[in-house]
Amino acid sequence: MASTLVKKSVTDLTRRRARAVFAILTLAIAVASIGIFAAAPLMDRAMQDEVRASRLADLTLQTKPLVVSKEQLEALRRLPNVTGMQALSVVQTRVWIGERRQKAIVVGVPDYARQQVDRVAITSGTAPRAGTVLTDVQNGGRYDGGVGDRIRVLGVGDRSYALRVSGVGRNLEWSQTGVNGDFVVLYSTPETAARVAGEPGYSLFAFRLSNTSTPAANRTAADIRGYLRANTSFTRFSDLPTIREPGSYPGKEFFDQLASLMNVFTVLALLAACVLVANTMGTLIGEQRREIGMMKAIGGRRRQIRRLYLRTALLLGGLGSVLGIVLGIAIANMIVRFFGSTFFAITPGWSISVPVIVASLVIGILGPPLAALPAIRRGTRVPVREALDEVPPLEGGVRAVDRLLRRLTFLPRTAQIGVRSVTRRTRRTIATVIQIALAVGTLVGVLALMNSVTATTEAAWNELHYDVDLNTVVGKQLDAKAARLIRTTPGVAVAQPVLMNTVKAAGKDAAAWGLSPQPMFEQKVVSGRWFSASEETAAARVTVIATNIAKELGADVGDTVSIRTASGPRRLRVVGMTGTQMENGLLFLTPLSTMRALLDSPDTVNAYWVRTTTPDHALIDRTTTALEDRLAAAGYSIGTNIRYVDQARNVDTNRQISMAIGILGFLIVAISMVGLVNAITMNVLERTREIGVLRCIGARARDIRRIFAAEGLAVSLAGWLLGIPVGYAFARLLNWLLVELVKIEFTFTFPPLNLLIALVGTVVLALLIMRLPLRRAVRLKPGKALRNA
Amino acid sequence: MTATLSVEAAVERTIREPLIELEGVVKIYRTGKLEYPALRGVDLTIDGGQMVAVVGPSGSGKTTIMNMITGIDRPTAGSVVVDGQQIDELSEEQLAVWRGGNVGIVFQFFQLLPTLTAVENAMLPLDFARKGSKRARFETARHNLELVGLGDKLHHLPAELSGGEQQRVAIARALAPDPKLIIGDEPTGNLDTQTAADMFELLERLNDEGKTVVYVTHDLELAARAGRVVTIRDGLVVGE
Repeated sequence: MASTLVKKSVTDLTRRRARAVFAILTLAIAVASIGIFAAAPLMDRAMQDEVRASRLADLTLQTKPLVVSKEQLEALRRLPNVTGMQALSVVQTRVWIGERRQKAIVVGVPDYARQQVDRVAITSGTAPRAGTVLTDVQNGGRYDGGVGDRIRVLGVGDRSYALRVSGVGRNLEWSQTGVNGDFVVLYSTPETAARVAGEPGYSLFAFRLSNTSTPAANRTAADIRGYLRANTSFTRFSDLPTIREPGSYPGKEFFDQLASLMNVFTVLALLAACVLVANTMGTLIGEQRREIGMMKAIGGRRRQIRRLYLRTALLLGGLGSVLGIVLGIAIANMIVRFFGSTFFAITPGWSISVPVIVASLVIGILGPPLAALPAIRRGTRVPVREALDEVPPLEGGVRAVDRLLRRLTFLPRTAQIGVRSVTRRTRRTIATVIQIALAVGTLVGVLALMNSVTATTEAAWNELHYDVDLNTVVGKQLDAKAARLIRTTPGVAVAQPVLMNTVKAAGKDAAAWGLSPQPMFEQKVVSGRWFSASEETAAARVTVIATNIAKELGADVGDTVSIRTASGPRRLRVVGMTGTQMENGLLFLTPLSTMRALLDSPDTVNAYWVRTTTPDHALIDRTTTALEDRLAAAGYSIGTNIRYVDQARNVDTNRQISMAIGILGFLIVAISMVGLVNAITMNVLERTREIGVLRCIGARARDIRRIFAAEGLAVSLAGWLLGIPVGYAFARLLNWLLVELVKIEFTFTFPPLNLLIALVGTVVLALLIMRLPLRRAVRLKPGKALRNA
Repeated sequence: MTATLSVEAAVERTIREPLIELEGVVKIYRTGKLEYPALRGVDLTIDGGQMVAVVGPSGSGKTTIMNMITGIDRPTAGSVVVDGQQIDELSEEQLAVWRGGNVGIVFQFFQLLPTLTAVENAMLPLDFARKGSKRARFETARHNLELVGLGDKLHHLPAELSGGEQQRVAIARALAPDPKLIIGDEPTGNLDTQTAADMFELLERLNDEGKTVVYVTHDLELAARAGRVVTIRDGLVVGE
């Protein structure tokens, strides 16, 4: 008997091939969802490979353009703790794209063949020489030129340079800067950069260190500062040294946040998959009722019968796992390639995560037997007589819910039959409803997330009351002459000087802005007060801090906070707190004079906020062009940010990111649709004889189709209804998670329109997905149906 | 249990044209590589108004003959004409419509829809045929249920009815389109003796009203009560 039972475990699958295939596919999808957990480690691995290949800098310092000789560069290379050094000339400018101008950055690399740090990889073409450039691989959409094309670059003095594109390049740092800041990034030589900037010199120094700890990096920065002061015209760094933490890379924090959000979806997908697997195994075992009865009648013991079906479940699990692991590897790698190419300008190769594969195998093989246990237990406990009964038990019709469904007499008869059939297999229906509810909840949650992100982003931008932001980071600072030029430019109504810098507080990077007492900025003071005109006059050491950084520091109004600036540590007294979300709420706001004093920059600023005479977009564009031209002609290398353009782009980018995360929700939708197909298919199979009888008493194909379609739609609608509270809870969870991850107060929104979108989507998808099982039901010939049921 | 059907005056049985004609009907079932000849060339004629019992051992082809007559299965060869309609040439859709309007089928296991009430089950063929208004269909079903003695159980679910009552509902359903032909495949096979006897009396009354009744049975006593007994063995008619 033992070998027969073992054989039965296998033949149970081969005999009912369609059902076995369906069950295996279902299990495969469930196992594949585990594979998504591999996306984050695979992405990290790909980025670490990229970091190694590109020799990403451990320490980066920015200055005004500084002339440094080859010998001095060599001396910097030989400083203690330095293992590699790269000096770059970086110019912010514009390029002509047809008749319009686009923001651009030109990066001058001294020697492409011997790059020790922050390598610019040449992906096609040749290294640039004087008068030629590489176009960054991520410039597509902003500049689509290729090798051999010419690009017109605007230089200071309003000169224009037609530079030939010699190739395509890629750099981990600059490629992302281009994408995030909407710049066209070009790589050239320091000589070309100097021509564009109107002055020679290196403005960015990147170092690789043997000891990358923060104290060691700071000591190295101090050594570099000391050397430069002693040997060049260097006065100070234009911003805080950027120290890269070991293991981190540009965008890591962003991807980690994304990964956390993805994991939420993955857990949901796994939950939906578990319900699906339990349902599938329950149905498979339930079908075996008579056979179980027969085995018990001829002497089979419960233990033997349990083992038989557990073996079948194991076999299904094994097959489903293998397929699911392959699917999971494909899905994880596709996610990595998508995020890698979209956000990080890299094309990761295919890779696997062994721990995730092992977990998939274990869960995939053991899951189905565990899921089948309740059904097996139920099946083996049915009395023999009942199990062998020829007359199938009459299920459905007598409960309160059935009485309720019988009241729907306004529906056509076929729809009534379908809707009432929903309660005939309660467990299966509940399982399917849960899966659909999870899918609807996911969709509604993601839509709410997108609404929240959009609303919050727009609100944040609306805090800014200027139209154009002029800025210079590494170029000539904006002095009194620049101020006159700005204020007298046609179209400019008001121009406010601003001094911006990066600071460090309690180990966290934050922004510090020096502003006028009446800034073009919504103050949103939540406690304390704004700084006064007299404090501006006195350059008082006061600050208004954003609530997020206040939480990080544990600071309150009246406290004194310590910050580290490019010029050294400073202390400020907190006079107020603001609820602004600009700079993710990591922001110190001080009087302009105070900021100038903190940075030893008494006469210059690095930005101007400009309000135009009218908010008309065309006027804003013309005024911006005029400002750029006038300042460039006077030798100022500036960048401009037009608020309405940046706002739209930021809103769009955030929406795209939300959607990219939301795409994972499709996995949950796929699982729910598999569940629905599974349920309808099983219902059709179980009611084969009933379908035959209906055809015998005059039911046409469309009647059969309508019966099962009505049943499927009823289940889908029930799932949609349950999905509303699930979606609300999920939206709240996502909102909370975003706040925790990104430290921004997202406005929670839950528009009813999203529920309507979810309803339409559910109905349309359900009708589409049910076509296959409905076709099967309709094609059943009555004779075969009555014989083979 | 006594059927409360009131019997009309005996209907004079006239010699009519044949209602059912099977000529050289062959049916071969193919399962994988196996071929099983269920019917090997059956010639059978049944006149209108007859009550015919089809008997034979298991696997002889009785149910297959019924399936040929009702169009549930198609012959591999030969022709099947029922009430002047050559049904082996109809499509599946046409067959479904034809059955709904011309044949009442009573199955061994009743095959009622468990979520529909007795009256809803009884009017189902009319719903599929979209015949008459909802009210008219309800009335027809109610009348048929009264005919079979279930006038007081219109709104009962099948789970609330006994086996005999369920079979009566099945008969009421079969009567819905007022068919000339009633086919029963072991219609009393799942009933106890007394209930089976009551059920058979019902069929006899329907036959008295002029309906042609053809039924498959293993019960020789019930077979003997038919006006004609057709014996099938190994896919052939071997005796009448």
